[in-house]
Amino acid sequence: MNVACPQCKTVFRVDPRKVPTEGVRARCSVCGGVFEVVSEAKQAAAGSAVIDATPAAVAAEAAESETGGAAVADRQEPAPEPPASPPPAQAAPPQRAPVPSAGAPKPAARLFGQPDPEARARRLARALISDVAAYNPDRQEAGLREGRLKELFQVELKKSWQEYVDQVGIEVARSTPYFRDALNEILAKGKRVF
Amino acid sequence: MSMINYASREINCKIVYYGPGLGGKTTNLEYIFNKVAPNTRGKLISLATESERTLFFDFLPVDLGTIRGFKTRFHLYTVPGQVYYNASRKLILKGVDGVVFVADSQVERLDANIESMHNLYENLAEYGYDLRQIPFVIQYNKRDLPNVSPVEELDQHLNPDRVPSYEGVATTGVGVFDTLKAVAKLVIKSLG
Repeated sequence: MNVACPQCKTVFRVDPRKVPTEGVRARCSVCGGVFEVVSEAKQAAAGSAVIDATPAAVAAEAAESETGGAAVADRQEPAPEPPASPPPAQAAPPQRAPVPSAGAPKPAARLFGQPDPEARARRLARALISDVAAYNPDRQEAGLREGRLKELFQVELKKSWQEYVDQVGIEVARSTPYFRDALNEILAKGKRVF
Repeated sequence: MSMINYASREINCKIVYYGPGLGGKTTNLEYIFNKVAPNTRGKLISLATESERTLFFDFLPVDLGTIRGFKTRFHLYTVPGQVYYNASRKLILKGVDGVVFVADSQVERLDANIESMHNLYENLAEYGYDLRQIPFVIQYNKRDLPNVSPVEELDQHLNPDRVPSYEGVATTGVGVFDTLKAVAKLVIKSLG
């Protein structure tokens, strides 16, 4: 059977034997959207009901995600490879699946800013370090005064570097000076500390 | 994606306040919460994480009239602004009906503003939404501070489509309701 991701419209071929009668949740490997795969038997019987998460439920899910819960759902589920392999079955009850409403065609989404990955990496580095400085002005002052910036911001800088690497890739992160430049310009206020 | 409650004859709309950390999203929401009539609003709910939080409350504006006999209830959300809390931000955007981008006007936060705007487009795109099709307004906050970028420069970097933008000082309420009314109006227009 063929299954189309309702968000990006990519069509996957799925072995119908792997879809239980009550349906399964799957994550699209192209756009990352989660959707319900309805079994052929159920498809034949009726159209699937659309049940949406309430705003409060979404926010509650969001809160969980930072403590480790939904972040797993976001990143670590095995994803199907188009066009041949099936979307993976999930343990969650099918009625929780956020199936987008049928009907209204989705407009072609557009991104913002420069597509240049180097410019993006530079900006991301500066935004990350700017966050660290903005949230900890007193510690920044103390670090500059006492020459202990590296020591005082060890945790934040590790977390920021990790996020930077996750987003731009280890090669760009290591081969460009953007992260270090941002540290010296923003956190060290122009001194060459890093 | 607005939800209709037939029992209470209300249309529920979700408005998300987006933007970089410490830009004033929470201050906007708290100001609105304190100004709307207590009998028309729900509780202010704070979903705290290790160092960031999401605020949420809903209210029913009394002066907006009805759409085919239905009143409009707005659900206002903030997102955690720091770059690395993207999982939360993305989830909160789900089903959004209108977006307010609260920019921090300070010169040193320009990159954080641009990165946050980029992230907003990216997260919406993953849901198949396009910001050009969604009610969207921008607030340039913290205009009372000495080290702010000129509005023209902020517009150039953050507002290429020239959506409605407002100058704000959320701590004193300047521009807060102008911004909210503008996005509410666009949301209602999109429903009609």
